[in-house]
Order: sequence, then C-alpha cells, then structure tokens
Amino acid sequence: MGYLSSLLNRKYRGYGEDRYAGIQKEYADFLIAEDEEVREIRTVLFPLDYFVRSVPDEVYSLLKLYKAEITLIYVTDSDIAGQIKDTLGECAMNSFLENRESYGRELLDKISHELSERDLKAAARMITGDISQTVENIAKDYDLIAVSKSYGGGRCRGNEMSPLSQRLVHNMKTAALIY
Amino acid sequence: MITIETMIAVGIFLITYALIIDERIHRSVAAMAGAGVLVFVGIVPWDSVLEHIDFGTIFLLMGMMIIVNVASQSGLFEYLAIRTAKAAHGSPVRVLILFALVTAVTSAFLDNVTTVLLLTPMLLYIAKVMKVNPVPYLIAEIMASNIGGMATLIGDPPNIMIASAANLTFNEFLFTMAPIAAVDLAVVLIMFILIYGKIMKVEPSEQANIKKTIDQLDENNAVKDRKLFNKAIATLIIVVCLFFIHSNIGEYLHVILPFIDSSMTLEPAEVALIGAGLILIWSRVQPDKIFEKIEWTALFFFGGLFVLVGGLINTGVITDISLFILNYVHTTGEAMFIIAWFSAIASAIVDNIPLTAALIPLIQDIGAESSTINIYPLWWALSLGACLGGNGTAIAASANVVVLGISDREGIKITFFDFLKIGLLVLFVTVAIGLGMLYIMF
Repeated sequence: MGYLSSLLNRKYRGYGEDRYAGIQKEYADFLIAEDEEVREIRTVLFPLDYFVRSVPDEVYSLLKLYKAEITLIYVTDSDIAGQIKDTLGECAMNSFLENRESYGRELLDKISHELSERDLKAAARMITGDISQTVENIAKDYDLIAVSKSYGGGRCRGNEMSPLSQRLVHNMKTAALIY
Repeated sequence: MITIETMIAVGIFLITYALIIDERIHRSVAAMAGAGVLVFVGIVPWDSVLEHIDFGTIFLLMGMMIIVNVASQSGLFEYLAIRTAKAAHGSPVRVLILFALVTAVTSAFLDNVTTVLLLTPMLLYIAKVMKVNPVPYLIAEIMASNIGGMATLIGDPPNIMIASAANLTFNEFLFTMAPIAAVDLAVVLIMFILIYGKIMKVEPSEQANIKKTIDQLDENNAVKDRKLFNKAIATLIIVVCLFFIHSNIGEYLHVILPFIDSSMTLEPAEVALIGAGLILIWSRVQPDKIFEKIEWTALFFFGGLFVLVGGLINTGVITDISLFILNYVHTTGEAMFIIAWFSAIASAIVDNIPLTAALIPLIQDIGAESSTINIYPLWWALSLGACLGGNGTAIAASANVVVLGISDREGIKITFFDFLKIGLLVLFVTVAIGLGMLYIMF
C-alpha cells in the first residue's frame, strides 16, 4: 500500500506536478474563492430599539436590490426593566415598558410605512429580552442583519459605533449591514 | 537456440520496463539508458538506431504539443471548462455527463495529460460548490479521457504509434474507434450514475444556489488574449480538417491547383507540424517559450523505447514470440481476442506506451509469418486494449496519474485499491463491448 502510493506520487511528479501549479495560479485569477462568493440575501433582520431613531434612504435602496423578506424587531431591554423594578418598583417598570413599547410600535409603523413606500414588505415583532442575546439568537436564521450604529445606545464622540452594535458585528456569522 | 545477444536484449528490455513501471528513475532516463546499453554492446548498431526510431510518432507528438501549448496560453481550455460548468445548471448528474463528454472529445484531439490538467481544477471547484464528493467526478474524468483518446489517431500515443506503423489514416481511426468510444462512454456513464447516483444529489433549492454561484464565473475573464484565442480555435479547426483529408488531400488540392498531383497525401506528422508552424507564425508567440514547454522527456522516452524494441527485433525475439503465438492461434478472431485482452490487462500494469511499442513489431511479424491471419483488425484490437487498459489501474495511463496526483494534493484520498475496484470493472466491460463491436465490423 505504501509502495503503491509512493509509486503514484513519483509518477505524478514526473507527469505534471509543475504544470499543475502553474494552472492552479491561472485558475485562481478567475475562480471565486469561498470568502469572495456573493451569497444570496433572501432574508433580512432589522433590529430596532429605543436608540434607533431613523433609517437612511441608502439602506432602503440597498434592501430594494436584494428583494428579500424583511423582519423588523423592536427589542425592549429586559435588564433595564429589571433594574427599574428593583429600584423604583413594579409600577414604575410597567410604566417604563408601556412607554418603550409605545415608542417601539410607532417606530415599527414608521419604518414599515417607509418600506412599503418603496414597495418593500416587512413583518414586525415586538420582543422584550436581552437586547444583544435576543438579536444574536434570531439572526442565525437570517442571511443579513441591518444594524444601526446606535443600537443599544452608548455612542459618544470618538466611538462611532455603540458597544452593542460592535459586539453584534464581531460575534455573528451572519453578514451585517451597518448604518 | 538462445544466443547471448538474445539474453542480453531480453534482460535489458525487462530491466528497463521494470524501471519504467517503478519510476524511481525517470522513465525517459530508464528508456534512454536501456537503449544506450543496447547500442554500446552492438545489439542495435549505431547505424541502425535511426531506422528503429519512428519519427512519424515523435514529430506528430511534437507538432501537437506546440499547438496545444500555444492554444493553452490563450485561456481556451479554462474558457471551455467554465462554459461546461455553466451548461450543467447546478445539476450534479449533468456535471458528471457534460464534463465526461467534454473531456472525451478534448482528449480525442489533444493530449490526455493537458486535457485533465486543465479541466480538473474546475471539476474540483464545482464539486466544492455543490458540496458533493468529488471522487466519482474525478474517476469519470479519467475514464472519459482514456476512452475519448481511443477515438482518433491523435487521441492517445498508442494510436499514434499504431497508425504510424500500420499506415492507418485519421478517418479509418475515426470510423472504426470513435463509435466504440461513444458506446463505451455511454455505458460507463450509466454505470457511474447507477453506482454513485445516491451521493450525487442536491436539494432543488440548493441547485438554484449552485447555479447562481457558477453563473457568477465569467468565461471571458479566462481568455487572456482574445486575438490568440481566436487564432488558436481557427488553427485547431484547420488542423482537424487537414487530418480528415490528409490521406487524399491531393484530390482536393488538384481541383484548385491543377499542377498538384492528385495522389498526393500528407502524413499525420506533417499535418501536426504544419499546424504548429501555422500557429507560431500567426500568433507571433515567442517560439523559445513554446519550445521550452515541449515535453522533451516524453519524446526521448519514445526514442529510447523504439531502440529497446529494436534490440528485440534484431535478436529475433519478436519473431520467436510471434511463431510461438502462431502455434496456438490460427484465426483472425482468435488473434484479435488475444491481442485485445492481453494488451488491456498488460496496459493496466505496464504503461500502455511501452506495451504498444513492443506489440507493434509482434503484430507485424504475425502478419509476415501467417497466411491465415489478417492483421488489419489486429491493429484495432491493439488500439482498443492499449487505450482501454489505461482505465484498469491507477498507474496504467498518464491521465490517471495526473488526476490522482492532483486529488492527493487537494486532500482527496483515492487509494490504489479504490481505483482498482472501479477501474477493473470499467476495463472488462468496455473491452468486451469494444471487442464485440470489432467482431461485428470485421
């Protein structure tokens, strides 16, 4: 067995090993490497929260090119709600959730409307939970995630992206569109 | 009575063939060293060395190497590979069939090593995109190359050697061997679909994705020089046309140029050299770069083999073997059977080129010694066995070695015995079909 495989190797070296190396280089010029492949975008996840105020027109234009199914999710931060409950009581927490969800509904309606004006249809969901983990879990089933630089809050001078949007882009395997 | 010269000639012949099989010493060096010893001891006198070397074969190979090297600089083969990949529309079975067909047709007109070297990277790429096991595709490519090479005079070195020795024309080869190659290829593809069909499946939704990925490849990017590309295609068409009419070219030329003798013919080697000259003049490619790429080692290998076999002829070994065979073989049918199966099985062990070199003078001697055996069908039986024997084992033909070598470098394991299992099956089925068709023809 060892003899036969080394015999095959010897013969290959004599027949075409050098030529193949040259041919491989030429093919590399026009074959698309795995990381260069343009993946088809059929589903887009659009996470929104209190800190996302608007979506630029350029993002809508790009989404129109994909002709993908868009899902808008508004995530209310359960951690903050928990902290409010611990410090100010359940009533304050309920008021907080009510305000945020009301804002969320308005934002979802606004963005859904802007999408429909551009012939893009979107499903909308309201979620309360961990604003990072929830998005990471849901995004696994999507081809693209469109993340605002403000998502999760915490943007400041010298830090163009919020810590949460940076974390999402860094951790996820799903392709990301940052706006 | 066995003389000392006979023993030396047979000994050197066997040792050289063993070295060629083993390849610890390069086969060209082994063949030349064996030939050198024969000349040194006087078994093949220096004056007769050139008589034994078949320059028809060597110049035909050289001419075709020049044409192929210039054509490959244009990106023609990569272009062909991408077009084939796109035509499959992401279907694994269609990839198998189309690549086998393209490999077979290309191998029928160009050398098998260049064909598989240029098509294998694309095949590996598609298998990766389809996320299917590449092994059936690679083995099918090998089989298609060996079967396709059998179809024409210029498809495989054994055919070139046989045609040169027996004065067979391109069209005789085409009309006799191409139908056998077509039937054999169809049967082999059916066998592959039956054997490997289960692992060559993708989901319909995946197929659309595969098609999209392959469609992103632009065949025009593969064309490095559009003018050279067009000239290469034109030259290949001219050369193939000349091959079609090489045996009666005078009849055509006489109509246009009456001073040309209508009985004029062109040897296949002349056609190849005309094509080589034409493409070099027309393309203005630097000839030194092209001449560097001629496989001189292969040409010297052929030269050495012819001298080695010359040693057996000079010492009467070939005549003795043919007389021995004629004691047992009395009809053309029996001789065809023995030549086809012996050359097929022996080609699977020894490279088919040295085997053909040794069997050609044997058939010529059988023709000279026997009044009952017609050697014309024996040439076809030899072509059938020598070309299809190449499918038997991993080392039986150059295409096998190249594809298996590439797959090994790419981390795809096809062991000698993996190949042997399917190779021997294909060998026996295709030779049996081919021999049956030859019996019907003759």
